[in-house]
Amino acid sequence: MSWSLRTRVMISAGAVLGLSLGGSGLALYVLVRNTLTKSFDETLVTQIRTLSGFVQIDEKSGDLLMKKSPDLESEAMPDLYEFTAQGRRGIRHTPALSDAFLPNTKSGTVLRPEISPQLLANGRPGRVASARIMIAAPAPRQGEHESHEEHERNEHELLNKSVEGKKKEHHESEDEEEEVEFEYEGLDANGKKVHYHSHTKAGAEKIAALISPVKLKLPTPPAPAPTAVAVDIIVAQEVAGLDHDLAMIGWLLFLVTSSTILLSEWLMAWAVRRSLRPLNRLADSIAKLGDDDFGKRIKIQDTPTELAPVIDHLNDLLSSIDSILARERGFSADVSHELRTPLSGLLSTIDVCLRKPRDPENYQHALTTCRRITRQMQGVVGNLLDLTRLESKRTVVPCEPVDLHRLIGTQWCLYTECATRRHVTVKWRLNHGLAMTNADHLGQIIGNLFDNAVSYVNEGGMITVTSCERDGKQEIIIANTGSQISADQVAQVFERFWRADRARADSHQHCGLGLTLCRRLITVLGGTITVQSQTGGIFEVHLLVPAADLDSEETINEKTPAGNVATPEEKLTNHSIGDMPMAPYRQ
Amino acid sequence: MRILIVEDYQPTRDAVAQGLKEEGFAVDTADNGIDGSWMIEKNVYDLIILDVMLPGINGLAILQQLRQNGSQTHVLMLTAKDTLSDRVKGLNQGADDYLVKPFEFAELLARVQALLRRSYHHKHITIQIADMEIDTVAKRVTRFGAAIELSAREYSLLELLALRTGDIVTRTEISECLYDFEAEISSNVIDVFISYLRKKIDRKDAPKLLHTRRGLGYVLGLSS
Repeated sequence: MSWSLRTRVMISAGAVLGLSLGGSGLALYVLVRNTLTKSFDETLVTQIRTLSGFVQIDEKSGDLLMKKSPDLESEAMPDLYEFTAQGRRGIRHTPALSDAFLPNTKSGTVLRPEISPQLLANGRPGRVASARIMIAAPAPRQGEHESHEEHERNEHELLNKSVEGKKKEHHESEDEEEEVEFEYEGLDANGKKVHYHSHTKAGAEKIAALISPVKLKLPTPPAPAPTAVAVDIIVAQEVAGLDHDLAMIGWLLFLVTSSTILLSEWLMAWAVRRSLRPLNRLADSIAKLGDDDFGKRIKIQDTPTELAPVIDHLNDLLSSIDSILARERGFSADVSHELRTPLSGLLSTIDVCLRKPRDPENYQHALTTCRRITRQMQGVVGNLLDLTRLESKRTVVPCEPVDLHRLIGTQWCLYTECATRRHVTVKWRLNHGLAMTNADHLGQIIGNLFDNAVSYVNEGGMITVTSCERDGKQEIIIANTGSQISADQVAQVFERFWRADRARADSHQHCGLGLTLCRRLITVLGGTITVQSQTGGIFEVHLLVPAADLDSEETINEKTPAGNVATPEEKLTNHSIGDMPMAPYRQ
Repeated sequence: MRILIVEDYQPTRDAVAQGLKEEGFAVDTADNGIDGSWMIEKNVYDLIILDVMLPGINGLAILQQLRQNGSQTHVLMLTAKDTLSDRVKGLNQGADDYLVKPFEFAELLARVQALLRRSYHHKHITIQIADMEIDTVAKRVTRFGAAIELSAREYSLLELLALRTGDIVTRTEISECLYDFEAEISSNVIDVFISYLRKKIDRKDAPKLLHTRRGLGYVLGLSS
C-alpha cells in the first residue's frame, strides 16, 4: 500500500505529537493529583493532631473526655471525626455522623496516620485518616481512688502499682530517684496493727520482707486500671471536591493537548501542502512533456534545495534521451535514406523499362541493374540487422585461440580478384600470433576492412597487412594508399552511414556501415579498433585483440608461409607475392 | 524542353534520364553538386531535377545559389528525406516541387510537365491554336479533329512553339531546348525538323500555322 507523502508526514507527526503531548499531559495530571492528594492528606493529619490534643481520660470512669473548646466547633475541624477507645467505637464523633461509624481502618501514629481512600457511611467516597494515641490514665491516689472501705476490705493490699504510683508522684515532686516513701499500715502476721514507713528503697524492701510472710487474705484484686488508654482517632473527609478539581484539571489538560495536536496537524497539513507545491508543479511539468518535448528542460520556480538535484537529474536524463532520440532519428533518417535511394533506383529503372516494348538487351540491362541494386540493399539490410542485434543486447561470444595468419588468409581469398583487377600491390607482414577471440566475428571484421581497403585503394596502389604482438595483445594493421580521408575526418569514420567521398558512393557498394559494424564487433570481442590517416594518403586501421595465453612462437613470415589453408600468399602468387616482407618484422 | 538531372545515385539518374529522353526532353545529367552547379551556370534549362544529398555541393545550396542569381528556372527537388521539416526547408529555399524517393516515374513525369506548363503560364493541359489542339499530357496533336502523328522530337518542338504562341522562338532557344549537352547538332538539323513539322501540321486547304521569321526564328500561330 503506498501512502502519499502528506499522509505519511501527517501520521508520523500526529503520532509524535500525540505521544509527547499526551504523555506530558498525563504526567502533569498525575503530578497535580498527587500534590493535591498530599495536601488533602496533610489537612487530615493536622486535624488528627489537633483532635488528639482535645482528648483525655476521665479519671474515675476511665471514659474518654473531650476538652470543651470552641476550637472543636470551629471550621478548622474536620467534617467527620470519631474517637474509639478500648474497642468501644464511636465514643465521640461529629454530630454529622449521627449513628453511623467511620470505616474502621488500620491505625497509624499521630505523626504518621494511616490514610486510605474509603467509602464513607453516607456512601460517598472519601479519605480516612486513622491514628492511635496512647493517653495515660491518671494513677488512682490513696483515699482518693480507693475508699477506706475498700482498704478495709482488701486488708493486705500491696500494690507495686501504688508503689510505682507513689514513686512517680514523689519522683515528680521531689525529683529524687533514690528516695522512695514506703508506708504500710495494716495488720501483721499476728494480727497486730502495724504501721511501717520507709524513705528508702532498701527500707521498703525490708518492710516487704517483714510483711511477706503475712498471710494475706486477699480477695482477687480487680484488674489493675490501665496505665494508658489507646484511643483511635479517625478523621475522614469527602473527596468530592478534590475529585471535582482533579476532573477539571484532567479535562483541561485533555482539551489543551488535543486542541494543540489538532492545531499542529492543521498547521502541518498546510505547511506540507505548501511545501509539496513545487513537487506538484514538477509533476505537472513532467506530465506536460510530450513525446517530442525531450528538448525542453524542466524549470520550477522556488525550487527547494531537496528538489533541485531531482530536477537536475531529470534534466540530465532529458538531455540524454534527447540526444539518444536525435541520434536515433538521425539513424532512422540515414536508414530511410539508404533504403529509399536504392529503392528509387529500382523503381525508376523498372518504370522506365516498362513504358514501352524494348529490345532484349535493354531488358537484360535493366534486370542487371535491378539485381545489382537488390544485392546492395541486401548488404545494407544485413549490416543494419547485425548492428541492431549487437546494439540491442550484450552479446557474449565464445572465444578460442585463433591463428590470425590463417584467418587473414581465409578472408583475403574473397578479395584477391578485385585486388588483381585494380592492380593493387599487397604487402604482407604476418606473424603466427594466436588471438583469444571468435573466428567468425574477427573474420567478419577483417573481411570488412579488406573490402574497404580494396575498394578505396587507388588504382595500382598498395595495401599493407601487418600482424604483430603489442603489449601482450595481437595487433592487425591494414593500410591502403589513395585515401582521401583528411586527418580531421578520421573521427567520423565510425559514424553510421558516413562516407568520406560521396561522389564515389554512387557505386553504392559501401553504405557507410562497415566500420561502425567493425567497431561494435570488436567491442564484443574485447578489442579495439582505431584508424589513422597518414601523410601520402595512407589510411591505416589498427585492430587490437586479446592474445591467447598459449605460448606461441612468433615466427617471422619471411616467405610464403606453408599451411594447409589458403594463405594470402598462395592466392596472390600471380601478382603480389614479390611484395612479401623483405626483412624480419619486429616492433 | 531541356532538363538537368543532378542525382548521385547512378541507377536512378540513368533511368530518369532515359525516361525523360524517351519523352522527347533534352536531358543533361550530373552526378555531384559541383558538376551540377557548373552546368546550371553554363546552360539554360527549363527545369532542374535536383537531389538534396549530393556529394560536393548540397542540393539545397545549389538551389539557394540559383535563386540568388535571380534565375526563375523551375526546380523539382528529389530526396530520400521525407520529414516535414526537410520538405518545408526545400520549398522555402525556392523549390517549385518536391518528390520523395522512391517515386514512380509517371508521377515524376506528370510533375515535370506541370512545372513546364507553368513556365509558360499555361494552366490547362491542352493548348488550342486556331483549329489545332495539343494535349500536353497525352502528347497528342489533332487538327480539324484528325490526329497528327509526331515523333518525340517533333512533338517537343511543336510544344515549345505552342507554349509561346505568337512569340518568336529563336533557333538558339530551339536547339537549347531540344538537345542536351552531349548532343552534337549541326545548324540545319533545326531546319529539317521544322520542315518535317510544317509538313505534318500545315495543309494546303487551311491557314498556315508555322511561320518563319527570317534571321529571327519561328512563330506558331495564325499570321496576323
